[in-house]
Amino acid sequence: MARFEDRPLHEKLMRAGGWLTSAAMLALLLFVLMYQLSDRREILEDAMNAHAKVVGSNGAASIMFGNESEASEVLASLAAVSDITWAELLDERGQRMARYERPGLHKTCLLFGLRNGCFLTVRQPIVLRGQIVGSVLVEASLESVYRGLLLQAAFGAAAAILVLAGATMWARRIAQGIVRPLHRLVRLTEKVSAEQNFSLRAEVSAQDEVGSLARSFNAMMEKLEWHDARLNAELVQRRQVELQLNRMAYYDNVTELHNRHYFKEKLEVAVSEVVRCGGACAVLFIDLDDFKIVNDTLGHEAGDVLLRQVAACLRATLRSNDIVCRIGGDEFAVILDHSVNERQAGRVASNLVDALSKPFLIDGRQVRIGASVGVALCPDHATDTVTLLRNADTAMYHAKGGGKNNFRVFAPEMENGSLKRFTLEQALRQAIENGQLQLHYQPQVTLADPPRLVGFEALLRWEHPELGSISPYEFIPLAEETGLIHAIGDWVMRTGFRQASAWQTAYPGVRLGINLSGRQLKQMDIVDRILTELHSSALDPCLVDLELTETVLMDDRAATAAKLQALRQAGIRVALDDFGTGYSSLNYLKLYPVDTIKIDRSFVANLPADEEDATITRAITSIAEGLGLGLVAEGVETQVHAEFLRAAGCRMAQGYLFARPMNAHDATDMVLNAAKAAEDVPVV
Amino acid sequence: MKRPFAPLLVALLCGWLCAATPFARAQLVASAAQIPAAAERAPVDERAMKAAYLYNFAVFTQWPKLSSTAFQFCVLGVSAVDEELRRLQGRPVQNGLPLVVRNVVPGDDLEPCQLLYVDESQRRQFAATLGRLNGYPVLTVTDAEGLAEQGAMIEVRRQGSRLAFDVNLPAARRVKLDFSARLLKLASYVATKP
Repeated sequence: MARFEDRPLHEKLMRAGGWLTSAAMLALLLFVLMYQLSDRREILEDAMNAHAKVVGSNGAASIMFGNESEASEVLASLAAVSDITWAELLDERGQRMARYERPGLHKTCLLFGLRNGCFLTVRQPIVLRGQIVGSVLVEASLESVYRGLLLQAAFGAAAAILVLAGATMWARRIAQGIVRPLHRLVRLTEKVSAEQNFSLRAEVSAQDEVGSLARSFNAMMEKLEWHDARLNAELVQRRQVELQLNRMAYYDNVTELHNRHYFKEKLEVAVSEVVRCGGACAVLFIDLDDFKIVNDTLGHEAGDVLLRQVAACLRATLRSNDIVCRIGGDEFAVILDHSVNERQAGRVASNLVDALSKPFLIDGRQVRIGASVGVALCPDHATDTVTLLRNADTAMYHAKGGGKNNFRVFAPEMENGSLKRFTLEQALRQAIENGQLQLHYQPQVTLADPPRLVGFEALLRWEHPELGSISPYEFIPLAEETGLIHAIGDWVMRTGFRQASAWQTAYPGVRLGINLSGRQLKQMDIVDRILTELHSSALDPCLVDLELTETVLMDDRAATAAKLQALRQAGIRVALDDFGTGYSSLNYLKLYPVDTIKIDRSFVANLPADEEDATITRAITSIAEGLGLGLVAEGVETQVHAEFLRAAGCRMAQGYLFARPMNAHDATDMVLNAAKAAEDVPVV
Repeated sequence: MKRPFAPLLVALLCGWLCAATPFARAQLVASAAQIPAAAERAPVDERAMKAAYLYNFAVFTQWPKLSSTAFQFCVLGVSAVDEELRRLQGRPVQNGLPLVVRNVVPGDDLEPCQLLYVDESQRRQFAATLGRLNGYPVLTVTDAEGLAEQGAMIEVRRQGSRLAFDVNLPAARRVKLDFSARLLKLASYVATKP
């Protein structure tokens, strides 16, 4: 049985109504019965008093005269009154004169154990002429009173039951009237929480507390609905922003390939899968070989177009489930995560190289770039992403070093070079700041006897405090790749020009040869830069030779020719370095405005024994003579070389035979000596 | 539903109703009911009884006019009940008039008397005295046998251990005296015709 408190509200109300009505009815019934009892007793008592008075009056004489039989006769008249159980006549001294007793009846009635509850006794004095002459005692039974009362109680109880039934029905209706809107409200809240529908509203049925509850419920729902709508709108907005951020975070917006971030995450997944479940995956690092040239010469827009074409090409070449990402400016990476072996990875890399070596069409122009691909496999080469990436990078650099436009699969022995390259790059950055770079000067002399100093070729040297002397062949490509070449080039020009300018006072007309790298020449403002440096060092441009290799001249001929023309107009002379080693050296002579050609040391080294080299040397000499160009032989180490060249018609040379490259101090000494010799005897 | 005072109220109401009405009243008369009825009346002295009878007769008789000062019980000569009567002297009889006993002789003025008692010993004086009454409303009572027939209104006589009386109604009516019906009811004999 549940506690009263846990019962439904309408039942509580009904019960309360029932109990209250019962209590009220019971109290009323009791009150009426008590009142009736008292009233009827009073009536009976009044009647008994009247009877006693009559009897007393009638019996007064018989008392006074002591006539007992007459007194009994008087009392006997009371037999007509059925309530009277007995009566007595007493004389003035209280002595009984006569007694009447109704036979048989009323003896047994005992209520509450009291005679008084059942019987009523009345004593009435007999007064005659103002004198008390005796008294009458009458006892009446209350039986008839109680009988009447019982009947009334029965009627009352029946009425009370009817009223109670009516009240219960009424209470039920009232209780249901109170509870029904509450029920509706409860069902509504359940519906709201079940359907998450905040547009539901309660019906406001009355202005009472339930009505105001419904109203405030509706107000609350209104707020909830508003908040829900706002929250939803905010969620939609947030989701869109999230998607956008996701795209930004994981996509490269130029190529619409995935970006470096995505690549790293995917690689982590692939590597951890391999480590956990076995299998294999491969990373392919792709570096576009000549992308920087396209970017520099055709502009960034064209660069972006090219990148998009490369991305499309990569996608077309790879399978759809290979992951291809752009991880840097012109670097792409591919993850092959389906149990590849070295051979398969190599074939994919080879396909990529083939695909990327085909020309791309940009702004109606055919552009060839080519790519170097490095391959590293997990778990063969590394089982963590960092090492795997470094290995792929290393392999890629080896591919690049191995002649570009090809691929390499990582091998452990590659690692040393890679490490060195990295430390070199770091060191080179510091070298410029710390003044570790130096210019050495190699004299160029006439092939006369005795030789006379004509000028110096400025040669860049890098003395690293730990790594020692580092060759330009090693660090110049690195400087070109990293862009450090511009700062280095500027520094070289500034230093060289100032030195040459300083020498002019002691030895007027001494020349300076400056090497210019391909990247430097591709700078749009290279002409201005050179002229600015010349101007600030107050060196006559006519004393400067710009030495260019054939490879420098290979790209973008029109622009290069224009720049060279501009330089020549300023008075600067252009020298073609390493002449004869390129593919079409003669073609360059026609294409570019060249003043001097330098015979490469490889031809000189074997002179005069090697017939071929001797023939080539003689041919070059005659070309220079025929075209009216200056000629300088490099790498002249022996007297034999010098004699052969002099015989061939070469006028100038440089090499160990005459002097090794020397520092500025020694070069200055040499200039001073040359100046002195020019005055008297030439000395070397 | 915490209303402990509601049933309490009902209980109090019931208690009050029960206590207040009929039982308390019953208590008042209970003492009367407890008085034991006298089993037997004590034997009464005849003279005292006669005196009481005289008093009772006075009580149950209606006089056309009463004196304003006292209710005179006149005794002719000296009687055996004089002493007993004097004990009753001062008791109110009718209209609060006190009983006064007066011994008279036949020659006295009998008009102020309300009642005249003629003893057996005064039988001879009766006729003369009756003449002297001269139609005054005086109740004549005697214990001399046969005097009722001679004009006395009430004649008391002995009957066993008790007293009985006869009433001469015409004699009384003549002087405008009337008797209570209750008295007449107790009389042994009531003469209605002269």
